[in-house]
Amino acid sequence: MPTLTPASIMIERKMTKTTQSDIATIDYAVREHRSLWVDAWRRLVSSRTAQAGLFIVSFLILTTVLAHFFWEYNPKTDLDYTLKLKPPTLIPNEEVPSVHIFGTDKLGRDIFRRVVHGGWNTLMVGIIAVTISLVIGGLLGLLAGFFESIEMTRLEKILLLVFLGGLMGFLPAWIAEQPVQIVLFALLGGAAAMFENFLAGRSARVVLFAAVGLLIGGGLALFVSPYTAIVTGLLGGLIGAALSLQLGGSLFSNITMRAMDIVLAFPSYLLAIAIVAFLGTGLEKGMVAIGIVSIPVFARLVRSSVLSVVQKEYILAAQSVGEGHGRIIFRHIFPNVLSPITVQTTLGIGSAILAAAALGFLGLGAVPPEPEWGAMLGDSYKYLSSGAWWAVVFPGVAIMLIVLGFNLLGDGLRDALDPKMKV
Amino acid sequence: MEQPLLEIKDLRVTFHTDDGTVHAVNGVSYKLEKGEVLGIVGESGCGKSVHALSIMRLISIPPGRIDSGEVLFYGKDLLKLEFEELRQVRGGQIAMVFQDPMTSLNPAYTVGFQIMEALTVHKKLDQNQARDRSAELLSLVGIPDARRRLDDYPHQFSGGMRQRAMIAMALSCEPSLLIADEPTTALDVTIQAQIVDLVKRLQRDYGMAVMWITHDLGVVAELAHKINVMYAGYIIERGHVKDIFKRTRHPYTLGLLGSLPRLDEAPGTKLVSIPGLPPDLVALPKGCPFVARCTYVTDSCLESMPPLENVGDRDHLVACWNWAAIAEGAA
Repeated sequence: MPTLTPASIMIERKMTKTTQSDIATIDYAVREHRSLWVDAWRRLVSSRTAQAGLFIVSFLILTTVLAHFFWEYNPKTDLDYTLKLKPPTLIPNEEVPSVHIFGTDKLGRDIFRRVVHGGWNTLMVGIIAVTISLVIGGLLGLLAGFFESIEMTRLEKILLLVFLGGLMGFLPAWIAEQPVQIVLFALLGGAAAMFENFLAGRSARVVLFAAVGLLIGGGLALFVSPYTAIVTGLLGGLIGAALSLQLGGSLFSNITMRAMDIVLAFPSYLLAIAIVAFLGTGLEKGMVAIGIVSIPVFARLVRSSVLSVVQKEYILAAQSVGEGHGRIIFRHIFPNVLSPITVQTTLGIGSAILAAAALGFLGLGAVPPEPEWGAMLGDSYKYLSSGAWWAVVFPGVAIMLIVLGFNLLGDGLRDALDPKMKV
Repeated sequence: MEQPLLEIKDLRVTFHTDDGTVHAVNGVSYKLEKGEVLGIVGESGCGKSVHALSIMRLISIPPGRIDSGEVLFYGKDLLKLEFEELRQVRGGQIAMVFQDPMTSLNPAYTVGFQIMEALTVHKKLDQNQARDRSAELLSLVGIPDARRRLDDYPHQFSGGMRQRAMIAMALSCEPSLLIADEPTTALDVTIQAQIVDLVKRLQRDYGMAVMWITHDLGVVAELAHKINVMYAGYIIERGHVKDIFKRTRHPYTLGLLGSLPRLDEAPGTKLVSIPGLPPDLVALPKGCPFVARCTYVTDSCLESMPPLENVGDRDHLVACWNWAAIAEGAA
């Protein structure tokens, strides 16, 4: 068989469509499964902006990873006051006996070395923070979107209410410092779902569950102090009343999305700072804070994509052949919402890195001797007025480059994965 | 008397939307025997699809709700089954084919994968067996070179082929009832005829019952044993095909038949169309929902909805106060 480029095969295929004779062989050649992802990849690498983004991102990742594993650096011992704030030096001289292509900082540390090593921390923050928000937000969005229009089974209702009961029970348990309350409220939630037809729709049901909640919250807390018992008893009553309602999928979706709205109502940096203040400073805590703050972005994006996919007839068809909900969600819906998720993840890494840098700048991110781009900026901006531009410019440029790289890549991905762009 | 395959009793379905409660199905009752082909006809929005989806609880809940009624399949009420039991019925005993072949296959998987999925859910076949069976099914529905086409993605299939693949999927577990929800509406006429022939042949060979939902009276005339005519969520006329076509007793059915173009008519004869629009399902009138468009209106029509009455000697039911007058007019 002659070797054909895909384009010429396509043309030939069209021409022979009516004759049927050669179609089998040509079809066979075409059937090198050009899946959506292969197509998207080809579109991606053929776009200039995506090429630039891909280049920047892979260059920075490569140098960072290589440095992390093959260039030893101990920030705790890196200190040399004699070399304080020296400008970039390419040729060693009397004053600066070693090469510092990016200059040195206020403690005489080589900035090039710290920029290269700082990239590891910065990238980690970006990736881990986005993973946190992607997994939690994505799952919430998938479930919320799915159950908004598909009836929950009894088992799913029970699981949901056990979860919600435990989640709400966290508050009184925390106040009374009795972790067992979480379990008890989760059980109450499970009971509410299992006996969903018991006194359904009557006020007696609400009163009953509120009373049980009050007993759990207040009764247990009596061992602590009467005042705590009053507070947790009231909370328990409210939780019981809430659990007695017939919680269905649309209510679940509503609750989740309103919670997301609440998170979004705070300026995201302010919220991240508040979370770090609550958890304490440190790189890991910064990751968690940034991750939590961007959960709503993913939850809303995934939910809206799921809502449009759920309406498709193939979901109805999957249901009509008797497939279970888990299989429908992960086999049929998930692959079809993957492209917006991919784009958002890429863009999200960029903004997470930026947020991490901001936290670092404020001294809330990496703990001092650790190199991290934002923290390096925060350490050095005071010396800008005395002319030490290099201590600020190089980490700053690094942040700018990596964020630019991820944004370009994200934009390229969006174009590549957008089905409307398909030729 | 033998137990019918499917018996629906007083099924009522509503949708709770921001604009109010939509009464989509308002007390539908009928029986479907084994091996029977039932045509369900009516305009868009008359509740024919919704009632069919409700049989397997496939309507989206919320906003939909099945308010009352029973759907007895082999005497079991499908509306009360636990989800796991319902899953066995879905696809295993009742299968469905949908209207739009363009969106009823998942673009992310090959056609073969999707047919095999139904087989692995219900028949517990292993990969190779499932693949063999899928290829068999695809060639059964008339797709040439079936084994190789299993690895094609839906976009490599034409509309008619996709609908065939859907039918293959539906037939994979040899259901005793096939619900076809306007399966030919989105296809062109020659493909339509092929699909109708295919279903006819498969129905004969497998002896399965078919519920064929359409607004095309021509198709049902060819295929069905019995017809339900639906309007505004009610069955307004039901009977054998001949009765519906030759001894029409409901003014709406008359209108539907009148709006079909016919070859044997004198050239220049005007098509009769039914004036007006179907009623708003949020605010149904007190009496018969067809009053606003009917030419036979009497006082009782405005007062209350007529019950389904038997007007012939063999299960010909009509919900109209004036069927006797219409019968006289026709005679």
